[in-house]
Amino acid sequence: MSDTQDEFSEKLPKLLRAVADELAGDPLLAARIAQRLQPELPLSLAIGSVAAIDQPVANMATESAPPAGLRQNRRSSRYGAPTVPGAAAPADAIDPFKILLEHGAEALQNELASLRAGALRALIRKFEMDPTAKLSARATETRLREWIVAAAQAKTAAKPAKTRKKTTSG
Amino acid sequence: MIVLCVANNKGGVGKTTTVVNLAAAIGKTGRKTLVIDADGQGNATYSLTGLVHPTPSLYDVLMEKISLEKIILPSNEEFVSIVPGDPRLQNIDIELAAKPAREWKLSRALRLIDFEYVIIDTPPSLGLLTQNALAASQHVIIPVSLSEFSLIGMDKLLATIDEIGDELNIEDLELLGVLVTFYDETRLSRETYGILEKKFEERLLTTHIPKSIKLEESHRRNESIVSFLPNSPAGLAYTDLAQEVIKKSKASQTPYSRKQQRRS
Repeated sequence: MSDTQDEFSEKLPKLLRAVADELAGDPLLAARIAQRLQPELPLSLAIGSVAAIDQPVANMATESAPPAGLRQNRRSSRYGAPTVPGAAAPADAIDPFKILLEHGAEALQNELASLRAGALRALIRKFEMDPTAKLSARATETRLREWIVAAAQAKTAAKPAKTRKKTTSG
Repeated sequence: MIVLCVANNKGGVGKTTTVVNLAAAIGKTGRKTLVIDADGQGNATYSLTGLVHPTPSLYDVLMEKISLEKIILPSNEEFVSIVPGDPRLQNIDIELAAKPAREWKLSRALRLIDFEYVIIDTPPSLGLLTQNALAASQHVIIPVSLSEFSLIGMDKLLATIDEIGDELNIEDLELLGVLVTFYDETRLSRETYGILEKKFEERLLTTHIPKSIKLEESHRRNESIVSFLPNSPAGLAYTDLAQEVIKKSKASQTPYSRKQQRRS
């Protein structure tokens, strides 16, 4: 009996940890459970109490994205939708300049590797990386990635020079 | 705001391809456009964002867990945003069955948003999701592929849309047009097209979408054909379709708010 009790007390924290991890990854499930525990609590409040459901969806999707290796192994079905659940970060959630400055070119290349042409082109548009419209609409994904890295490097390399000039003149 | 849905209970006729590329082509004209992915497969979501089944999604909106404007995502296309879909939508018929006004959930959710065009992708069925899409729309586009089977069931589909319209008392739901997809220059295609022309007359849209492997390639690239290959036959066809839809929908437009007031 005592052995069983010991076994149970050993397993219980593990079980609770597993449940907590699952709930952390699924705010809506967490909200539903919070509501079951406190039936008088409206679901909207329950959602607010257990998770930042109001945070931008793009961030939530990014957080639930699988590791980079998994993302690159996406398989396509008829319309190209991969069968691996999870998501690549949308173009809106990535700042190539920031990644390059903080983590270097390799990190930027890794981040871009999970994006398809549409998202890469959206990034180029958003950060005005092709002001003279030199990029062809037919550009391959490899070409688009190289373009973004080169544009980010050019811009980040140009920045300190400007600052130096200002400092000298001031 | 002009709300239109692309519906056909037959699968593989090009509904999602039409929604994605039509939205992108309308977006290219500078009109703020929202795609609503009401198909549990979430293919429109993937095609426009690269995201696979992000949550929260339209499911959470229809289950009244979150408001629609909070889950709108930017897409890869200019002036196009999307409300994502996910596989939980596939079982929503059962979950909504006992709820009051279950056909009006989407229509009500649209009240708080402001877009010039809203385009709804529907699943290949005439269940509650499609009924929600029809109840929220002023116009329906029915894509038809030029295969032998595509003509079978068309009468039934049109009758069902009319029935749903009558049942839900939707007075201003109009068939914007039947859109021919997967067109190629074969005898079979031309013959089938001829039958459709006779059957639908002016309700057959002038633009037809050619069969093209590039359309599938553009889905893989998570971009529309109008961004990837704007001058290809399919790219030009979708640009033409956007112009035709803008012209037709504006000509027969009734203000969305008026429709809402009448219904509620």
